[in-house]
Amino acid sequence: MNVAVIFGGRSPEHEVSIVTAHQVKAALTESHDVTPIYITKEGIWLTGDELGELSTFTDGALPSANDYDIVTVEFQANPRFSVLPKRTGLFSKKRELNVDIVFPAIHGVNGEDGSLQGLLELMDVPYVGAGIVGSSIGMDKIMMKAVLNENGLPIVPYIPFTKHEWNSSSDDIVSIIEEKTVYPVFVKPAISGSSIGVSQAKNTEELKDAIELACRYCRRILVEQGIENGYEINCSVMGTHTPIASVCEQPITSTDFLSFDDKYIHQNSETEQTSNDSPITENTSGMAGAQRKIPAPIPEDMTLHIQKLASETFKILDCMGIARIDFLVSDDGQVYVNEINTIPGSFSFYLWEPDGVSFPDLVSQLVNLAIETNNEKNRLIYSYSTNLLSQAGANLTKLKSHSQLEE
Amino acid sequence: MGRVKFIEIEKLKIAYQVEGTGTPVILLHGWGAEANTFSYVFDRFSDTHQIYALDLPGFGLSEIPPDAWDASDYARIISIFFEKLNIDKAHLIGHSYGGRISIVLAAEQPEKVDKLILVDSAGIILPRPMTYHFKISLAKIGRLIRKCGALGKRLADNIANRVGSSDYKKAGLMRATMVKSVNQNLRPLLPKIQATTLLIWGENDIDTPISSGKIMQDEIPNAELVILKGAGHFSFLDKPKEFCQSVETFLA
Repeated sequence: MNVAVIFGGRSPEHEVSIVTAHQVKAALTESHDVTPIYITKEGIWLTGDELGELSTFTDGALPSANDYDIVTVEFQANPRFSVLPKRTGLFSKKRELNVDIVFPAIHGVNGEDGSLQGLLELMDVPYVGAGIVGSSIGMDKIMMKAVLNENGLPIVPYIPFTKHEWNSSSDDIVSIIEEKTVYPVFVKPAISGSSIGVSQAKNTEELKDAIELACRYCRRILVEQGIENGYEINCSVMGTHTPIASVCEQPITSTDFLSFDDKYIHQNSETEQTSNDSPITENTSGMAGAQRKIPAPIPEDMTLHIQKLASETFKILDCMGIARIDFLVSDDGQVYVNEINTIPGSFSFYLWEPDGVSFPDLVSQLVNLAIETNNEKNRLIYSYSTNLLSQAGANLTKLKSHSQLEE
Repeated sequence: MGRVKFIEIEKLKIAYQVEGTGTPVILLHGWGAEANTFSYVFDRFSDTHQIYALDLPGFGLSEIPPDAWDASDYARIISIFFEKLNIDKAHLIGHSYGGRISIVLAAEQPEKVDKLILVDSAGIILPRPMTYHFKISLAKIGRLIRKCGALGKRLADNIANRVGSSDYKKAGLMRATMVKSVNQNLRPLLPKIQATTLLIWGENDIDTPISSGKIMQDEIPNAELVILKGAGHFSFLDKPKEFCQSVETFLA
């Protein structure tokens, strides 16, 4: 089976995606043929064997369009991927790229947000992970909270607004925030990954700067009530209709909250317990290299509660395959759903290993789930014979004769 | 570096960071860069100075200028930045394009500039090498064949990729500002600079070659040139320790 791993992309999490993709590729290679498709920061799709090697990315500059074959998508009789050879002479020939299933390994916008999933739906190619709705709602913190709130899942109080509203009535917005929340609060762009553009504010001045900062990354902003002395617990969920939850982890943060550096840059050296024996983590451990406690040192009933909330969140947001759900826990034990990652860093494999699921098993499982989901979709009815058009034609004729009478 | 703050100048939200107390020092980055490129320098001097680093309009977290600007427009913004933050006088450290802005400010508002440090600074139009004229001719041919259908467009794109500078290709909305700026010759302003000036150049700078630094050394009344061995256009990143040492001695 040919699996195309798509990674990179026009997202601030470009580099993280490269690490995740190479972990996936290494885990898939034994059982599948893997084609790397790398999307440059400019949005150009490239392929080539060297793009499957991590050293191509770590030694010097990132690969550029001049050095690799370009991947295009064609919507002819059957939508498909094609490859334009890098030597673009006048007579260079396109060739078809044989892809049975796509494994998106892109974090953040233009990949994890439903856009790539939309393209793959139009192409009718099976793909790993959540579909359009799950991906886009999971990526949008305001939409996600609205949906979770509607379904009775616990979330911290939040105030959503747009950049446009901020620019025209910032004083009113500050008043509303200060009325409904107490400092500290967190300011977040509605759409961003890896805590980029997220900051904590402890007073009005910091709040205003934090909102301006968030406005640089998104036109919709939310301010959330901070949980003092709280901590974060993450849990992964896998499956389709009856998903299962993994062990819980507690990320160990060096600052007030998990910033981009904590999430992706810290290496394995200080990890309390993680998958050091995994053959593919090495020095580029990505999300697997962040500092964490597995299992999280929380009471068993809280673990069960969190696992239940994680599975419910997964189902309500229409997720597929895998996701990581991040929770906030206050010092009095209140649990809140905080965020969902539908393409979690390193696909959360370190949360499945304690249950005896190796990374190669995990990715094979995800490939199977993707095929199952695609088969299910193809059994649905998409066409329905109707005489709507002929009816419309008749109505139009009636209308015309009616208006002629009136004249 | 510090927490990002914002200030509104001429309806543009401008991001900056400030740390420390003492004589103010303002860091002005180059084309395509942002305040964070100075993080080493910023942290090093925040113990002894009140250090400011801002994202120039159109870069980093700051909003894009409404039309094509040149270094004089940027200098005007910096001057307002001084006033809004009650900075009477500051040392300026300008790299590359930030050097251009520093030159304009030092020449036209000398009362605001304490000491001036120009790092691999732009601002002088040097005689063009033969390759420049060759590339310009190719670009003109490219513009003509772009009009000849799809094939012409493909060939023209190919030419544009080969002859355009990487800054120009990446400039996007800022392209007009870039074109306006690089054609602005600041050489006549050099004799007007009253501040004591330190010029720091990377030995292997090919973007703003040392010959620019030498012209500045000759034409700025009170200037001294330091060349960092083995460093390129981003000399403060290539040799951060040596760079900071030179700055420290100069500011002492």
